[in-house]
Amino acid sequence: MAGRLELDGDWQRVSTKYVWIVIVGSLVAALISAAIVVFIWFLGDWEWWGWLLVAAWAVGYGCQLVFAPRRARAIGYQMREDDLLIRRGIAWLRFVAVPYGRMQLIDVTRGPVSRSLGLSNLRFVTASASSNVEIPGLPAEAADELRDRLIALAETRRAGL
Amino acid sequence: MNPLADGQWHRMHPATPLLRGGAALVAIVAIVFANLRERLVDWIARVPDRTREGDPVDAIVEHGWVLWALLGVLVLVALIVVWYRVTWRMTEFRVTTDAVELRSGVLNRQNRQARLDRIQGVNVHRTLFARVFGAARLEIVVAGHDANLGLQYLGSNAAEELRREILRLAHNSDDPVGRRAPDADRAVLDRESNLDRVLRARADEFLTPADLHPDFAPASVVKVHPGRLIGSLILSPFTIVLIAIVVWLVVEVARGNYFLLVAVIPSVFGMFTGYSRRFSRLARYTISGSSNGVRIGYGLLSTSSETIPTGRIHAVEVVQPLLWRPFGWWAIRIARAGRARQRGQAENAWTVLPVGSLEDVGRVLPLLLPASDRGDLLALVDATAHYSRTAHVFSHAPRAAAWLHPLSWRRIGYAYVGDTLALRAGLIYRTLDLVPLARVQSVAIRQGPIRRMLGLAALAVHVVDVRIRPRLSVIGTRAGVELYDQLARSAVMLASRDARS
Repeated sequence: MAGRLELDGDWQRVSTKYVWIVIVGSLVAALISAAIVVFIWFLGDWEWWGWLLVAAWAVGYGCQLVFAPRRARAIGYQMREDDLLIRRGIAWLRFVAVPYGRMQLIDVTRGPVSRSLGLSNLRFVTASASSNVEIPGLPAEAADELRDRLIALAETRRAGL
Repeated sequence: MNPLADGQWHRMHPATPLLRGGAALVAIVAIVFANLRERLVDWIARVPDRTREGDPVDAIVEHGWVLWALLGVLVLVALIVVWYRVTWRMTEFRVTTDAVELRSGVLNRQNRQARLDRIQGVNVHRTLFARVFGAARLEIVVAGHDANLGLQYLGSNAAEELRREILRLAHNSDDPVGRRAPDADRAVLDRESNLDRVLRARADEFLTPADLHPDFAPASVVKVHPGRLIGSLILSPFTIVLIAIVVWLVVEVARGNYFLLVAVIPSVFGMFTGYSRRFSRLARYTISGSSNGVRIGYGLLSTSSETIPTGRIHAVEVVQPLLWRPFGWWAIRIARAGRARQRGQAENAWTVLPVGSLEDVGRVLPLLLPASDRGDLLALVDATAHYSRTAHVFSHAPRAAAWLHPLSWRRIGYAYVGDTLALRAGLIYRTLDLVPLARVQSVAIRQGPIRRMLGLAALAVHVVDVRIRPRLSVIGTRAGVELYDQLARSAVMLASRDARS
């Protein structure tokens, strides 16, 4: 498609195991919403709209599961000379560029599922709350290494506030 | 050099305990007086004793405890006085060439330091009570939640002078040659910068005589007429909500639901007092340029005066809500890291011009963005106010954008003024965002399915204050990618040049 937004460059992909985190996440969300649907079912008379609700629920989570691998593959990052470029999403595509010098701190977090898969989540915090820069699903050592590299780069390009 | 900024530890103004505890003291006296009023009236009018059930004063007199009660009060007062005295003695500050330091606390000692090269602004607040005594609170604004350093209270003049001194020192310490040089070179450079400092101080003295006399603050470049301010406060979305509530109330009461009157009327009155509060906060606005940055003053009863170094302004927004259109009024807001801690002053912290004509905007903007060409800025403001199809001040979005923004798509565009990005948007709520590229935190570009079908993308520039969100919600995909690359590159370049220069 001609209108598709694309930025060139050598994209680093996140670990293929990240798919499982997305899948587990959607399954948990599906279970919780299923519980809500069941609760509504017990609550009142089940008419045509109830089945519509169930259909919407099934289609929604079905799509999420089907697209999970593609969503995981769509996440990428590029370490350019002076800034970090991050992409996310397939249908809703978003690119963010953060100059290294703007780094305020870097968070590396691991949830229960990602720990069992040996993955880490890296978050790059700037002084602006809307930056929202996150690279999920990095292998733990790679995340620590990336963090150290980013900190070293930020140190040489410090830009204050 | 200012005697308070000589690098030694200093105490606050000796009247500080009175001013800090003043409001509470007045309140206690008022409560006691209100409770004993009847008794006092009786005593003065020499009315024979009336019996009062369970009156503590009667009980004390009956049991012969008068002496003990008086002694108790005396001890309490003495304890309070001693406590405040000790707190005052334990609170000290000093201003060195690197930082402003404050140590305070009797039981829990606290030592707070604000580095001069991190200062986002210096404010002088005067509450009504402090104004009576000629005292002021000096607040040093640094980025971060509740990180500000407040010196309360200082004499009014001392606070003004200290502010100027701190800003001057901050300006010099921002000079990265001295800051970045390795320690070996530092001594030499320091000597140079000392000489430089002295020369600069002399030059400042000659060039800006007005700003050196605290009694004679530089004249404001705009005058906000009180009538216009009241008008601008009334013509707000808040008023529409209020009118809607009142109409709904009248309708309901006409249908016989009287209980609503009791329930809703107090809160409606509360909303009305909101107007007077906002008015007294925003009244008497003054803005002027000074050698150290922009100086903004406001407040009817309690006054504040802020000085913001121009390099600490992260974005400027010029807005015109629909209701202000007939009068040609505009407002200017800025984004900055760090805020005044004073209660209810979040609005003041980002309002630079509460309301003003287009000429006022033209006078204030060059003060906020001194690096940009004045004529170019005025051209942008003019293009925002008076749209013309033939003018090419701003870029144009492709025709497909009309699907997403049927009314305002022609107005959405960007332009550059020097190193500042200008973004225009809105037909109903007109805005012009100006972002110095050296202050950009990050840049984002995104595209959803609808924009992809139309061959469009959306671009956002992130600045420190999330209340100002400069963005281009429609731009052609290719033009968007080009602009994005350009922004990302120049943001990096200008930020590093800014840190070095």
